[in-house]
Amino acid sequence: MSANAEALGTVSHRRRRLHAIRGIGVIGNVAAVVVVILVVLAVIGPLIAPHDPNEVSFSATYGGPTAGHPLGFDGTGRDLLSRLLVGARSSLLGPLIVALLATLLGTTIALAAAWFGGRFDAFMSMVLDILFAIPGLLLAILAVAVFGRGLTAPAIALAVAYTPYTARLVRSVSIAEVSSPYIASLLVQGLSSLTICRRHLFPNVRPTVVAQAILSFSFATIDLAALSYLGLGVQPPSANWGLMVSEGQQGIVQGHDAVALWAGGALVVSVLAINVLGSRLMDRAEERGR
Amino acid sequence: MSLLTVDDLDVAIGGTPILRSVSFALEPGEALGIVGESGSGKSMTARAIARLLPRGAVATGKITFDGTELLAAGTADMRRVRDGGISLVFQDPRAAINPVRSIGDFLAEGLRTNRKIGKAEARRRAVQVLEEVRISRAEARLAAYPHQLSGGLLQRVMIAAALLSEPRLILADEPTTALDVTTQAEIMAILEELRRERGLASIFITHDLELAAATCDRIAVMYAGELVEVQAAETLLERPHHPYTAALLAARPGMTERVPRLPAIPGRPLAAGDPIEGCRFAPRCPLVIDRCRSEHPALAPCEQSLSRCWRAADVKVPEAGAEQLDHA
Amino acid sequence: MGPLGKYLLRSVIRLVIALFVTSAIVFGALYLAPGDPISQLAGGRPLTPQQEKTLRAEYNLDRPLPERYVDYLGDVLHGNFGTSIAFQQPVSELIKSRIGTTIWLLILTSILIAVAGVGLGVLAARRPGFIDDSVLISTTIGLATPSFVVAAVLIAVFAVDLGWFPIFGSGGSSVGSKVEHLTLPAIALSLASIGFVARTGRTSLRVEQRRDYFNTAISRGIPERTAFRRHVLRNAMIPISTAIGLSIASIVVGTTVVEVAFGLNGLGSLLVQSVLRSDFPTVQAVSLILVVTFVVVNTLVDILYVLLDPRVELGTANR
Repeated sequence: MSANAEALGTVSHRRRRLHAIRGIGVIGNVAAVVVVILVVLAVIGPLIAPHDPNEVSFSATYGGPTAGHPLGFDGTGRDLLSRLLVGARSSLLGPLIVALLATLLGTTIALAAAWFGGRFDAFMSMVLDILFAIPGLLLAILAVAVFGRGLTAPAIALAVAYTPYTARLVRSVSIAEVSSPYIASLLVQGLSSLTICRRHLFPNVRPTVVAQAILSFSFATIDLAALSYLGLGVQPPSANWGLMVSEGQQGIVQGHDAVALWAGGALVVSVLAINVLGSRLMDRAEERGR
Repeated sequence: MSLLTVDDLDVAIGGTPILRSVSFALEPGEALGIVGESGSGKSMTARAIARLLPRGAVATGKITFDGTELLAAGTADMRRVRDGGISLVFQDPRAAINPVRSIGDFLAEGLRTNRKIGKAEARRRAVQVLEEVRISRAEARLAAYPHQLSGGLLQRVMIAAALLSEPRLILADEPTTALDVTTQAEIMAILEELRRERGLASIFITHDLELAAATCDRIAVMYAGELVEVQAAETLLERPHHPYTAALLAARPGMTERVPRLPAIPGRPLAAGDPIEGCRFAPRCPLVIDRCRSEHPALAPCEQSLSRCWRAADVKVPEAGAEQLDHA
Repeated sequence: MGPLGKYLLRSVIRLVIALFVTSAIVFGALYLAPGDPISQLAGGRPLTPQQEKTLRAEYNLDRPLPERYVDYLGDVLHGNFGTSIAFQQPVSELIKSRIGTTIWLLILTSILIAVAGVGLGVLAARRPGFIDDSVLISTTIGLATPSFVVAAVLIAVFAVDLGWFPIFGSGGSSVGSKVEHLTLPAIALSLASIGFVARTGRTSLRVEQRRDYFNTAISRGIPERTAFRRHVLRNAMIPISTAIGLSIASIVVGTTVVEVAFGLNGLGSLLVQSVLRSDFPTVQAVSLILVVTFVVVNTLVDILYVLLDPRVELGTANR
């Protein structure tokens, strides 16, 4: 099974049919399916949205479900379902990129630290220790203060803030691998460091890396949504789940809670599925390590 | 009246029998050794008496201590038995003493919570009992934590704690297995001395038949969840009446040294849960006859012994280091 | 110096390094911004030559960067955070007027996390089956729910529908009024952390319940509840209090979201407002306070861990 198939759930390119991921239980597999569906929706959401997410019908403000508008309208009279579908993209793909970036950075640092050891390892550990002192959300807010609103700057900031978590974990798993005899025998065979790291070391720590990447995805989903909720991320009139909860909160006071609940619900379901999948994969990786 | 009687005790976990109809009695001041391989049920017998059975274990039968029926006793009665009746000494003191509490706290716990004895008095008694188990600088040790003490010292603390409640019976479950050989001897000497001084009854659980014979009045040998022989220690070594006891004695490497583990007896030991019709030792027994495979023998008197064997009278005096057992 | 003293010293040194680095990042952020630091400070507002001159002097913009950093640290230590351009008053006064609400919120939330987290953990560990499963499921959901979504639900149910709590605002200065206004925010802020603490508690309590020393205590006639408290709970408190400490550190920054959600005038909402209004001096000051609190709480957790566990070899402790 390739790493991607493991990460994204259930598609095996070799066998070209669906099958379950072993060792994560029924709930883990259900979570995996939900995550795949969510990511697919994030990609094609704007294509299948029944209406223009910014099309306003003034008469329909906070309107309930009607034919053609199954979830009703938001506070400005825009189709709620379309906004949820379109909003999936910034709500999920942004965090996914954050997770991938943090994983790439963290894994590279961890493998290098584990491989070279000694002073380089000590230095990197110190740098990571210091990075731990900066909470992700705060670094993201600072990034907005410096570079202006939007998703790019805070996404990079979050990736940097998550890097030490990935790096510390992957380093500890890699160090155990580096000291095992098979690495020494590969060195004796004259393979280059890069080849050994890429072809032998990485595949052995991959389960941990994949699990941690998915957990980072869930943290990033919450943090980036919070930024948009605060008005620092995705800007109106664009659709985004965090932003929609913020817009919906004004409706709550007037007794219209549908917008906030649908957008909040979408967030909870996403984070829940991603989190459960990540924790199950992490448990499995830890069991394998033993 | 006996201090402790165990009558027809059965223990099963999830329907699998662990102990089968164990019965014996213990007189006040008597020292009983229960000997067997791991899995024979000796520790489970101790845990049943202490009512510390693992979750899911079901015990039936009767265990009577000093007039109290233990398996039926309520919480209050059981606490009375545990505080001043039966004290336990566990196999691994490092696991049995809370690592984040000081030695003084561990010793005083029972006195302070159960008997509402004041801090100073509890401390005085703790020092006294530490001195009794020959721990030097007792006063200073009270402030120490378990990880700062050696295993042997810690086992003495365990024994001291057992003594503090002034019990009538000490139940020691392999108290020396986790210790090195010299320390083992010290611990056994201390236990022995205290027992005689205080007139305590004791049950000593071990896999070391010789050690048990050297320190106990009477020996009960267990195999696959059953008692197979009960006999006075002094005669058992000379005249065993069960082939398993004989095999244990024969497996001794010699009279001068002692090995920490039982040497192997040919064949695989039966688990207590394995269903079998006849004698449970039959598959490994050198004296086996047809009857052994079909009829389960009862624990019956044979000369000065109680033995669970159809051929109890035919069991031979073993020779130390006998050649027949070397191939295992 | 004893081993404990050495450990404390090492923790303090690490704390100082972390403070230097984080303050350098907060300080340096001003110069990372594209364009002139003056326009960043002004947030794009047009300045009179006089204002620009004052700013240039205040921030020593003509001197080398390291000197400016040292000056900055000196100012900060004297409680001088510069002047807010957007609010037209010294940043220190702004902070003084806002910090009370945030401290109240943090205290209430910390109490909730400790009480509910430990309580649920004990409940789950002591009652296998339905109760344990319920705790497990609800904490999984709690961990996955962003605080602002909890806030929306709480406002909808308890403030709007039932009217038990006020919808917005920080309340007056009396304790009763604070509690009334800060209860819902504290619940929103604590929910995920309660889940984290409860799960840590459940796992470690279960491990401790199977330890021999718990059996030893029972075998000595110690009542089950007392034995549970003295041996199971006490030992599990080592990982549990670490979890509580880490949670408290993380909610420090979480106050930004919850204060905005409930319209509280605390430091967190001040940070967000100052970002939205491009008020860089205030952003710097509040970020610094939050990050310092975060780092200090983390250090306290490290120290607490050692105090709770006599087994930790202090001479070589290095986690």
